[in-house]
Amino acid sequence: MVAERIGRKFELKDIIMIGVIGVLFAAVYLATTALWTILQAALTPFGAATFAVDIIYGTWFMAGSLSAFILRKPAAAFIAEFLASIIEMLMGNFGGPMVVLFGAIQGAGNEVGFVLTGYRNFRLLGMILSGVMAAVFSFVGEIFAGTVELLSPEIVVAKLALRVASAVVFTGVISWLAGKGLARTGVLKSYPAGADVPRARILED
Amino acid sequence: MSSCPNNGFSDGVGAGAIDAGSGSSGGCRDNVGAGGGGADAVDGAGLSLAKVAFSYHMDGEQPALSGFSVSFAPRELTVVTGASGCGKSTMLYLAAGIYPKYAGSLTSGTVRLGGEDVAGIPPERRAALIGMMFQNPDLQFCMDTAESELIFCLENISIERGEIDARVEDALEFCGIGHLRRRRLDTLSGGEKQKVALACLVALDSQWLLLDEPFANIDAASASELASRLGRLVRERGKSVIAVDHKLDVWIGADEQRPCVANSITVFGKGGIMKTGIRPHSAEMNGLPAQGVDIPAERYRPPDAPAGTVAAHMPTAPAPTFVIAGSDPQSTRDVAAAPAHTAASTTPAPARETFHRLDDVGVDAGGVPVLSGLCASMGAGRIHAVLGASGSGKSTLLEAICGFRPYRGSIRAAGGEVSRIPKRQLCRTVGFVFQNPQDQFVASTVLGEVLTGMKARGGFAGEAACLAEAERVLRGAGLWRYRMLSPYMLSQGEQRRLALAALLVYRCPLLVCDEPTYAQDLFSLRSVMGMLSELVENDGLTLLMSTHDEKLARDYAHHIWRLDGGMLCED
Amino acid sequence: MRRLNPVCKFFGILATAVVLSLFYVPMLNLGVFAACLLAAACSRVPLRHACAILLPALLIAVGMFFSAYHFSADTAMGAHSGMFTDARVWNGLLLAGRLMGFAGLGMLFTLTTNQIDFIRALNTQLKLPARFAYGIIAAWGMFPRMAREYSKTRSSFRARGLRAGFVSPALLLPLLVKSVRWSESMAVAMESKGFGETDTRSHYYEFRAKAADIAFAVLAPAAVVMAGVWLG
Repeated sequence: MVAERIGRKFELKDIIMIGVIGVLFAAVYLATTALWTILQAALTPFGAATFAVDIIYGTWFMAGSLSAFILRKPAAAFIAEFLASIIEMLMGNFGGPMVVLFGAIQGAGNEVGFVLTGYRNFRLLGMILSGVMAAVFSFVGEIFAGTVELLSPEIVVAKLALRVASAVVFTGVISWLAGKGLARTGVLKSYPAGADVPRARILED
Repeated sequence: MSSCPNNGFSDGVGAGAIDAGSGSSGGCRDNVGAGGGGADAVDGAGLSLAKVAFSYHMDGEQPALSGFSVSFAPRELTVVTGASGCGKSTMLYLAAGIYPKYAGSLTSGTVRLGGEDVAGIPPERRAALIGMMFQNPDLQFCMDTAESELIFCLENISIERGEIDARVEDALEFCGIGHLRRRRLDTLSGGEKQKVALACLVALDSQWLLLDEPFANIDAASASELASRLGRLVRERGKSVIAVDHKLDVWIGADEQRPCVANSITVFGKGGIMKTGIRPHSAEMNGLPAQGVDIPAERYRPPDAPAGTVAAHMPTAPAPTFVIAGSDPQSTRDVAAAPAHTAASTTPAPARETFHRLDDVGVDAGGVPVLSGLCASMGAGRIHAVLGASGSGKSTLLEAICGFRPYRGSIRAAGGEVSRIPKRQLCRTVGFVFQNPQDQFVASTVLGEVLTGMKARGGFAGEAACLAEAERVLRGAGLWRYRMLSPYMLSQGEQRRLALAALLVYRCPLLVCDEPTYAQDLFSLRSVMGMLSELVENDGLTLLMSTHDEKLARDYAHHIWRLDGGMLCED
Repeated sequence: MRRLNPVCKFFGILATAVVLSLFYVPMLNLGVFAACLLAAACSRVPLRHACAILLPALLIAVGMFFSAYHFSADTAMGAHSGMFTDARVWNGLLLAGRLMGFAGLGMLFTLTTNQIDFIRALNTQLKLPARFAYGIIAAWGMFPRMAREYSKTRSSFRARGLRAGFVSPALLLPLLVKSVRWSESMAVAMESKGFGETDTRSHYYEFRAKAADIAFAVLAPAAVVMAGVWLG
């Protein structure tokens, strides 16, 4: 069982941490609901509401790329995104079981991003790739679920472009900055991301 | 017992099942009778650390403990005390087998229970031997209700389904929380949560109960109730308890309602054990305040202590000096060396107009009114303490005063209506110091933390002036050498100094502190309160603090307010 | 619905949703949505909870209708019925209706399932390792705390005269520090209660798929297929 072997490398505290990061972003989504509702409503009359989701879509992949940044091992991004989607479902997202399916698809995208660098780049490039792949995977997933293909081709391409851009900003740049800041605080001492941070500098003068 | 050290000792309920999933030989079981008999079985059953060297760094540098040995007698309640940072909690986590798995490295020495290496025992078997209760009541439950949590515990140690109900029942009953069994854990108070945590240990039937400052976050009534139940566990069920705490009143009994439950006290100092086997209420206890331990007879603010007393107790040297950014460098004060007047004997600060006012204030939380009709006028340049049980709404009131929460009625701070002050200017009117300093850090370095405030305040001639000022503030707080570190890397006491220093640069006339002495030892408490008293006396700062510590309010505050049943009254 | 085995219900509803996405029949979407509402009503789901889930979905569905109306593909998908001669309205209704169908199914699952039971069932029935199952439960339980912490962190930024965006790295940092700390504390607490790395544990709650559960998982998607073929 390959899955079992990979799963074994995840200790309880890793799993909870991945889950809590998922919970953190769930809290962020909840807090942004008001803003997002306004955006959605404002765009509706122009028929542009469909873009609202794409603008912030990148935030959905942040749990995956951040967890991979911290744990730096195969499957971390996938498991993180998958667990985050289960938690999202438990909290009452209207997608229900579909959210978990999409979580798995997005997680696979997140993971493929890191596979492309051979799990060697957990810096900005790796994070951006992870986000972009997650965006592409999620888009393909939506085409299969049949929620986009009735739109005209230009709009579909625009949606994809927006989503990828959102992923580059949120999943790539912002996750990377937040992850780097986190490593600097010293709380990641027992994780791979914290291991390569030099010992704290105490300046004697 | 020595013939069978691996066994889960157990009494009464469910004795047979503890070994079911653990693979131990079983068969040799010591039934400890009520009354704590069976002293002949003590040998080999003790918990001991021998010649331990432990460091939080993987390379073993800067050890937290070195050449450290201690052993604890079974069937006793031992309180381990001492100043912060002397390794009490580290010792406890090692004894529980949590370290070095979760942090640091054990470079030499052994941690043994009844001759067996603690860290080598798998958790499902260790739980029946050693149980933990933590300082933070919130982060120890993984399920939603007390009942599910207890079932989770019993499933972990492979108790058969048929037996689970009886053990859950027993644990709930022993802790007197039968009425809480189906309540959601996140709706319980801190004290109730700690009772549930104790129930878990009772259900697991752990032989050793290791407690890490279990009362730091809970009200006095729950604390003494828990202490008396722990005493019963020792007396009636032959359990052994090691409690780490820097306050002793609950353990040694401050009055008739709170009888003494501790059997002995062990004191840690810098570099290891200072003294073991101190009996409660013996003459030896009078030496404890010098070790940073609060005892009921000791006042926080020594009435006739000569100047410099506090500085002499400060664990870090040189003693920190707090300065307010932008004030004249000449007026820099050595806060630690504050002249220690009692509140009563101080000549009152020149009475200015009363300008912090609450008028018919009401605050809702989650759509439910928590406070209503509060009226108060709080004199400027004074220290005001708000006392109240947990859940009385102290924090809610403080948050409203700081503009974090919408309120009804009128709150006037420094002459302005809080809700009307523009958000960006509010930080120059009311400063809020969180209970936990980590809640207020906004920058990635210590230096950045102070600079943030200066930039928000403005009025500096260029970067260089700003930096020079920051240096002065940080040197004053004894933190300049740490300026490039993340605030999270500082020790607890340093974090608190940073949090205060960073807020004082805003120079707001009203400073609101939520439990300013929370989870601090006597040294740190005196240093922080001494510094705040100085600012009030010399700079006309108004300090409004919440606390559940009567002694703190009596020793430092000019005015004591009580928040009870939604009413705010001055004492 | 409440008495169905959670795992069977999960797969039944998931399969129904997948099947639904294969059809291009507006009436089918609305039919599924109505059936979900009916089932929820029979299971005594509080109306307030149902609305809390369905209203955001409705908002998005309306947005989607207009998007499809303005920017529709040239040809309508699926079979035309005489009712809608305009392809744009047809496509809009299809997309919006499908979303509401999904939302109805999701709402039905969420509000008739005890979350912890679902995870427990994943552990006992699908052999999801206990570390994952209880790790998820532990993390999920921290949500209320995290939500409080998020707003507290935002107010502490405001109290310092700073502006911070919803997902700015500076704002995320304190929360991430706490996430890591909390997860360690929680793992330590669980381990000290005997939760081990191995899966040896007893099970107080039993989860088994009974005939009725399997029937639901098979018949619900099958019914949608038949209705889809008949309506299409």
